[in-house]
Amino acid sequence: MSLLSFAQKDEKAKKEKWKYEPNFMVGFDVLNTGASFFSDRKMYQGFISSKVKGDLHGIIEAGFESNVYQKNSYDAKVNGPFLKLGVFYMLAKDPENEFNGFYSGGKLAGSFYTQEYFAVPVRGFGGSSSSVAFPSSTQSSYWIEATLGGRVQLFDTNFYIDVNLQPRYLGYTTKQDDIQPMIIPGFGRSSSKFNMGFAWNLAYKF
Amino acid sequence: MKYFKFLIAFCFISVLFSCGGDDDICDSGEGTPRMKFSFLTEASGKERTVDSLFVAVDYGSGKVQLGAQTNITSRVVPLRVDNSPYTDVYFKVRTNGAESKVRVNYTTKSSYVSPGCGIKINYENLNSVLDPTTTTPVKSIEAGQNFIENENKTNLYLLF
Repeated sequence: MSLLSFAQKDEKAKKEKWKYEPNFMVGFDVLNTGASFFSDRKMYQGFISSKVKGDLHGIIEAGFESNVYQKNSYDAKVNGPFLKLGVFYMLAKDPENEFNGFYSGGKLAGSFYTQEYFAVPVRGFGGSSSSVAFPSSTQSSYWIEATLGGRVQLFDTNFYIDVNLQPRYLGYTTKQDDIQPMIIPGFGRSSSKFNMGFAWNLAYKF
Repeated sequence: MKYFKFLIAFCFISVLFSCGGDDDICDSGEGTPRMKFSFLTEASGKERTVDSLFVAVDYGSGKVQLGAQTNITSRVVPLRVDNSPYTDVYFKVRTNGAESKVRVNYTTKSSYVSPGCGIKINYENLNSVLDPTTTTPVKSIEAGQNFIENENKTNLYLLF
């Protein structure tokens, strides 16, 4: 009993010692936004991150994507917002500025979107193929995502460049008439469960 | 920077995963099943081996030759998958010989299979009619299983 209470006391002491200093970094993905002007994929995403304790940072990402899938006789359109919550750990950092460095972490993500399948193929023989259309519906998908990236301060300003890779694995998705979604906003092409995303952010530290 | 190597290695491995990509491949057997024709001798009603059989199918844009097969007791033929309620199938036993026309009427039901295969069609209420003006080489027909779910059971017997 005494040991237990001692442990609790110890924990309390630790908690008291740790003081959260408000700090925020807000970033916006410039590269995907730029690419939106030249393709059917319109992708806007940004993040807010904050150093929680030591080398541990918390991050919230939000975005909106509208996209089409026109391949292998499929014709689909999706659009909707997505949200990601996660943490990352600074693996290596600049001794002069703790926000400069490389990091790695994980996120949970969800997307809530509208999809419309104009054509799902029926594979036939000898030029006899047809397709079935499905009406617009609202679906949601959830996935886990790793984050691997780096941050670097732009000269002596409060601006940072944050570049990261996002390998992701689709966990769960709602389906319309059992049809595996071919594309999911925020996730990308989803005929297979693995996918890779990236972000090239311009961030400002408050 | 001792993590750096690990980081780069992880990136490359992840890229490999992401290239595992789109399964565009539809394994045979998962897609729309074909119709199975078997052969009987008209006189005796016994199963028969056909020494050569040429099949052509009208998929909506004219006859498509599916080629000849030799020494067979049955043959599977893909039907139309569009909204047509019938498929015309043509049989002959010699390259320049007479041709029999069989119209296969059916209703269809579609169901989703997989990303690669898309949707498959099951045919139901099969009802085949031999064109009465083309009774050579197929003299008459006999119905088999009247729906197509897979390619195991004979759906139509051709009597030679």
